[in-house]
Amino acid sequence: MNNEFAGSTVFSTATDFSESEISTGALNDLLRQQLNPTKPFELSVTQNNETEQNHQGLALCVVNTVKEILDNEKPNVVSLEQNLTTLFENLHQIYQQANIDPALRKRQFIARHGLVMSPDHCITTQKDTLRVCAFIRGAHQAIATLKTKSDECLHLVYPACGPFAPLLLPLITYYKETGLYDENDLRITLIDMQQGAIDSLKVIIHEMGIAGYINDICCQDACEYQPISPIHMVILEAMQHGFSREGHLPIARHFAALMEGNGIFLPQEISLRAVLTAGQQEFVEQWQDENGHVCAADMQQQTINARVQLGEILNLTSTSLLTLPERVLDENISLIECGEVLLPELDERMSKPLLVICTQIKVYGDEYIDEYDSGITHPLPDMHVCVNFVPHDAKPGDLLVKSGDKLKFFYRLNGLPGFLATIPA
Amino acid sequence: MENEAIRLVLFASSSVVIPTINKLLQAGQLVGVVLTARNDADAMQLKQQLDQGNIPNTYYQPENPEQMAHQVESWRANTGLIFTFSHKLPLSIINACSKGFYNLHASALPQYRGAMPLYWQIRNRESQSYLSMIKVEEAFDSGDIMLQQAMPLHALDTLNSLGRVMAEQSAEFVQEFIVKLQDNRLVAKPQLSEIGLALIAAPMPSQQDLMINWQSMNSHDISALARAGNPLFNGAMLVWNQSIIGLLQATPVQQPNYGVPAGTVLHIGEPEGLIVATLDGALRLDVLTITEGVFSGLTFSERFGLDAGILFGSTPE
Repeated sequence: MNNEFAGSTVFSTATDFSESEISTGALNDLLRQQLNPTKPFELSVTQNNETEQNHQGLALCVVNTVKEILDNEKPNVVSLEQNLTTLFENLHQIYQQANIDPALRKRQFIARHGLVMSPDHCITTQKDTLRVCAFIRGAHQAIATLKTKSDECLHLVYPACGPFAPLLLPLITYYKETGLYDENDLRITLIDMQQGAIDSLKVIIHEMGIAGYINDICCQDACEYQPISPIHMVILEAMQHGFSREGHLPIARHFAALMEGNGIFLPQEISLRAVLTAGQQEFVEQWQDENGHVCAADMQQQTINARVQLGEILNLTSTSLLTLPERVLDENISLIECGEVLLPELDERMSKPLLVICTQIKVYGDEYIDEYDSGITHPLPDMHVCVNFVPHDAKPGDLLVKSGDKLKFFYRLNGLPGFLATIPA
Repeated sequence: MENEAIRLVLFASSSVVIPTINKLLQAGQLVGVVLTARNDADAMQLKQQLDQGNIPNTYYQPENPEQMAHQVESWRANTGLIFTFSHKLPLSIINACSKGFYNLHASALPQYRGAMPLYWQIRNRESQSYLSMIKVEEAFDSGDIMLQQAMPLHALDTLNSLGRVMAEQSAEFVQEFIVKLQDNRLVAKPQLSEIGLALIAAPMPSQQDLMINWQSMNSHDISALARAGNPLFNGAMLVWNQSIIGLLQATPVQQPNYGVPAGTVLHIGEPEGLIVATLDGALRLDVLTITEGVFSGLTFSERFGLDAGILFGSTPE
């Protein structure tokens, strides 16, 4: 952390906290200390209490960020991006200084239920503004809802959480610093397959000062986890665009069966739709003026209007997860039966329509991650499905279909999960 | 005739003939060497050795075979030996040697007839190779077999390591052949293939021959393909990001592929390395080569940002 960072953090935090109804004495002391121009934060730290000061600096950064997320129904994306970048830089510094074996940080592989990214690749999730915002807000509301129903200590489980557990730990740190929920209110279990992520979590949790909230940190395949105590809330995000490659579905199904009947599963609902679109317009032209910044709110109406909505092919909730029809093909592959759609007659201007799988994530209540809001909700094209045209360079696996045909979708469960379009028998 | 001393002219283009040359020199049987116009490092090494040893040598001029026939006559050669020589010789040269013209071919002819018998035998995972001395006829590699000898082919041989074995063994083999030729103890046998056994050709591999076909090759096929092309053809070829990468060494490993397509990267990390799914399991990509250099699979992955889940040889999903 440098002086420039400390100064900007102090300024915005002080402003925010002047309006806050929740603060702690320790935090206020820290703020006063930071506001004193003759005693800059970094310079006041002595060697002996460096750890404590680092914790306070990180905690301040987290509180500042989470407060901005929770206080604003519509995030100021620019401001929030800055805060999340600062938070990421703090966590990244801790991560780099944690002496985690580089082999454990870089290891990546395909496991039975999907791709397991390396811890080094996972850490940037913390900077995915709208994803982090939706999950933090959703988790906060879900916890409040559960707390209105029961006074018992809630058991929150976050499988496939990665090295930072970015969608929950900032909120827990906020609770700790503000005193909103204490260790008797919430207990967290974190699960990840990567030992490098586990090693990171232990250091991050220590630095955040939230060890008291932690029930367990498990290094294992989340699909093999068996809880000792009831699970009241699950927070899970293990997917790439088009709901592909990672093991969200099998993990979600496993935990949906483990969760208490009145528990809350985050995300509450994931909707996957099949859409035909003009590829050039969809992925290039509509973003030409956006300087690399894309989100659902900036989608061009013209592009939206030109799309042909084929229909929803899969809808996942904690209830539907328990009744997914599955066909086991062999020891490594099974197929979840999904929706069937009709290919309509198309406007002649759409000469080579592109089939895309669109994802909408309802995290909780009114908190959504829409198309393009995050890397995980970018529409995923299926280049193998050729609607009303024959490709010049046919490839193995190409599916040639035309208007009037039906497409039946399956969700493939193997080492690289994803949708499979077929022509129904 | 039997007592006439052997005066041998050697037609060659590769340094693998150097042990044979040494043996012939020791026996006082070599009168000259005819080289091809190849100017790669291997051919240059041979030329350099000949010049350093003051061994008469000349370059073959395909457009002027008569001059070459005169050169053979001027050396008073009575025996011709073709060993690692790619040009087809005209009858005027073949007939210039009274004791005949012979070709040393590294296979059990008629199997693996062609320019690259060692490449194809490694690639096809043969457990044994052969040295065959055949009488030179007008048609390539079709003459009678005068002498044949088995040659070990190790399961981990590369093109060059097997080439080295051939170089050493062929020196003794040529001496045995010359002794029997002098003693008139050679028995010509026609090249006969086993009934029902398809002939396997051994042409110079094309670019397509060098490509890994993930849809049809299993782990051992790909491993052998890499060894066969190592180092002359940069191993086996795989495609990533529209670039062609040479695979110099690969090892079949026990690793579940969880039903992902062959060619998908299954694992990147220590100590296991870079592992890819195949038709029948998994393969560790040990050594890769591209323009930028030669890399271990793991180093290549890190340097060039290879990720688990990507698919070699076609567009990633």
